[in-house]
Amino acid sequence: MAVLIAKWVVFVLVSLLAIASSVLMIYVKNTLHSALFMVMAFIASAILYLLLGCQFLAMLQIIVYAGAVMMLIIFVIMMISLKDEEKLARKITKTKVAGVVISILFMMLFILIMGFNSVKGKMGALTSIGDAKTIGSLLFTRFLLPFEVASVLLLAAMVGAVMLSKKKSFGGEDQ
Amino acid sequence: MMSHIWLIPFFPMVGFLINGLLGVRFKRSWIHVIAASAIGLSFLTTIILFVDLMKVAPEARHFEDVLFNWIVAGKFKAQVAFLIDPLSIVMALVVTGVSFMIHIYSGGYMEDDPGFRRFFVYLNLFVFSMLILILANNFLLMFVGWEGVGLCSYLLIGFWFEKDSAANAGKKAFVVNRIGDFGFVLGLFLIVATLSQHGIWSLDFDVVFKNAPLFSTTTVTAITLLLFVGATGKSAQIPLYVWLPDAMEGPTPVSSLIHAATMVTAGVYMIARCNVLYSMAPVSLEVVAVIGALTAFYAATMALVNNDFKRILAYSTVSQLGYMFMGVGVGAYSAGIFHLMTHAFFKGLLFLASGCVMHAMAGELDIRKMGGLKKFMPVTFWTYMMATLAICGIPGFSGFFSKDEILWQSFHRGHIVVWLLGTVAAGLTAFYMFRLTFVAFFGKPRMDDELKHHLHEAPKVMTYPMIVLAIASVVGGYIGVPEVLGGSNRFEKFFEPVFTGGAAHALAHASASVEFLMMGISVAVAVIGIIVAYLFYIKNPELPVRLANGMKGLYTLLYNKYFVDEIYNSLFVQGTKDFATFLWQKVDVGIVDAAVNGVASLVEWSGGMIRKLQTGYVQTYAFSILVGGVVVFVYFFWESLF
Amino acid sequence: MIPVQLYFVVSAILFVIGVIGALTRRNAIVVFMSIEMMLNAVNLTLIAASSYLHSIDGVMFVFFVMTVAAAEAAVGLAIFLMMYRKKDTIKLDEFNLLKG
Repeated sequence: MAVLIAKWVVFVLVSLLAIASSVLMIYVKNTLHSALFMVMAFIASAILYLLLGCQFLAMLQIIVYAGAVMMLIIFVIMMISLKDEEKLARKITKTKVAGVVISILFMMLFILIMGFNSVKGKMGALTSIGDAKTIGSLLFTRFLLPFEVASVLLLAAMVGAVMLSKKKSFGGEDQ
Repeated sequence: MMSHIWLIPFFPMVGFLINGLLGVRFKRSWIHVIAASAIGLSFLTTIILFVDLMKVAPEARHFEDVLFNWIVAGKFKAQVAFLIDPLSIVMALVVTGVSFMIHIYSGGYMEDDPGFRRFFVYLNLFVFSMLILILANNFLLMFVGWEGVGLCSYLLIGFWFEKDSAANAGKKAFVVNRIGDFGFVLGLFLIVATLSQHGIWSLDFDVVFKNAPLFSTTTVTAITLLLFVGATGKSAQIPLYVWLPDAMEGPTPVSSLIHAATMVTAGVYMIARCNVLYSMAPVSLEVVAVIGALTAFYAATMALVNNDFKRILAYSTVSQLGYMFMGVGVGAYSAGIFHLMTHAFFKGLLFLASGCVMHAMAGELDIRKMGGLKKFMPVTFWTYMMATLAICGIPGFSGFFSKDEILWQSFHRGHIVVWLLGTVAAGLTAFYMFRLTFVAFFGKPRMDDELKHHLHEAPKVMTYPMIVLAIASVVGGYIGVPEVLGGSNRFEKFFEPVFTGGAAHALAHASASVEFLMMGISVAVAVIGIIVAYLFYIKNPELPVRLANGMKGLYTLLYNKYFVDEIYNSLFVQGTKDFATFLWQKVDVGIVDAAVNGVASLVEWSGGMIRKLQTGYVQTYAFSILVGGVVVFVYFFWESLF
Repeated sequence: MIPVQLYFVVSAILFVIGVIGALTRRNAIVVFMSIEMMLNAVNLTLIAASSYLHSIDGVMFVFFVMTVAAAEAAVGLAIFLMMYRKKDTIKLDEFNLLKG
């Protein structure tokens, strides 16, 4: 019982933290701050994953986002002078207002549909969805092909990123 | 050989295609040789066929050469098939023969014209169409030829289209011909509509004529009158003759070939071909005869006062065509065709002579500025003289036999009024032809010195065909010497198998004395005409002026061609133009264009509106994705409610 | 047990915050981060469903989504660098070559 209450408390707090930090992420002017709020939201999500019993992905979330993506973003912010962007006054246009309104409508509908209907689906037989062993063995058996494709994708992304951010173009003719 | 009738139109078509498609790089002499030899080969084929045909018994002189099925629609069938019988072979001989001469002549006449190749292409196409018209074995194919010659006529009248007058003349000829063709087509429709009620779906001459008894008198009268409307358009009869004088804007060989010798006689040929139908409709025949006689007389009066060399000849052509219609109208079909043939020779020749004169006079056509050409252009003059004597009906020349035959037949068959008009017209013909001769070829030269110095005889390539035609103009009549003059009228006998319609009118043999009397009258009338012309233009050149002043009203009326052009203009042309202008400015611009432009501007406007959606900002596109997502969710929400 | 619908609600909120960020901010990096936030919200949904249904499929899906997100981050940020080199800014309203 106490565990359940603790779970509830953690869920509510962590959810609020995730929402609050994501709101701040899109709200603050300083891009670096935005990045930090993003990491905070991601960590909060990772805790939610833990609550759902998915330890492996929680760890992965923290490593990938808080580690890799976050570092990339901060590097880019460092390389690009964002003074202009940060000095911009907030411009409220009709499009933006419409975007916000429609987004909220979208959310309402989503909640109406997903939040008030029971989830239908075939129940699986797994007792644990989060341990690395289960996921690892599946990755190398049932999901081997997607796994290999993903590795190729990552390689391609790496090459692409290097090519794009190189100063000189590939042939070295222009610039 | 009878299975090779198709060769006759084939050669001109080949000439047309070679010169038309490949001729751009050819030298002028090649083009001329190709075009002329195409017609020459066609002429040769026709002669061979003619000889073959003569070997066959007269009753069996009827051959058809089916090339292929052309239209098969339901039960209706029309073939591309050619027919050779005495009538079509004579027509083909005349057409290919005269065309051949004129093709040779044209090489000299058109020598310096930039449109040399175009001219011969059109000319070959014309001969092709004309042969299709003549040799067709059904009305529909005939109509193709009929329209084809109309098209070529239009193209050739407007050959020098950079001249406004030529372009307008071409247009006029085309439009007036369309009016006639409309009647022609209606006639064909009526034939099909009537015959199909009896289960006959064909426009073949054979079939239609064989089933002619199925027509009621009213129907056959309507059909023949409608066909005659077509003939009046094509053959320049009252009331549709107005295009022919204007057609003289075309090159002279064209006037000679199309507007004297061949195309304009298509109406006569058509009526002769349909003699079975016409003979069933006495009313139509009467109409044809009267219209022919009136045209003969009426056109002759207009020729009296005209001063344009070619236009005088044009009115003369209209008048002579009137004679042919008189002939066929009184039921003497072979006489009509006979005159058609002799006329092709002498009128073709007259036009060629006028071409030589034009050539020498640097394009001048006003006879008042000529005079004394005789000694400058002897060959032209003498050949011209042959043709003039022939057209006037001087005994011994071809025109005498044919014209006299027509007049005699019309008198003999009881059409006194027709005969009277024809005889008077014959006198007028003699008068205006000799007026032309005396003014242009005799007397003192009235052209300026520079031009006089320039005067020359035409080159041999032009004179030789004229000599050939001159010989034909003289001797052409001897194939039809009437029995009363000791001949056997072979020409008429030759046609007997075709003109079965005429046979119904077979008459008791007339007394020779009456026939001699008639002959004497017409010769006398012609001689009087010549003498009057002599008195007027050689003896007392001031007499015509006084006469013209004395009868101011009549002279003005004649000189202005009875104001027919003006009347037609205000009656039909102006109304049509006004109506067309109304349609253009009100209906087309106001309604049609407005609708079209409205649609266009609607599209433009809505495009401009939608264009604004394409802002180029990624976020706008993301926004539309979101809207799409909302729509999907609304759908699912709706589903989840029920 | 916390009902799975609550997780869905939380992820819907996170997702929409991401959408709003992507639609309203002009800073390309913030827009990018908002998109990452949307991916994250979807991941949360998938894991919640997976956990509720005792099925591993959702988890595997999230695994690949994360892979793709990482690749996207690498390439996307490289593109931002290129954009910056071209125009000296990464303000999105400077980039409207798609305008019709």
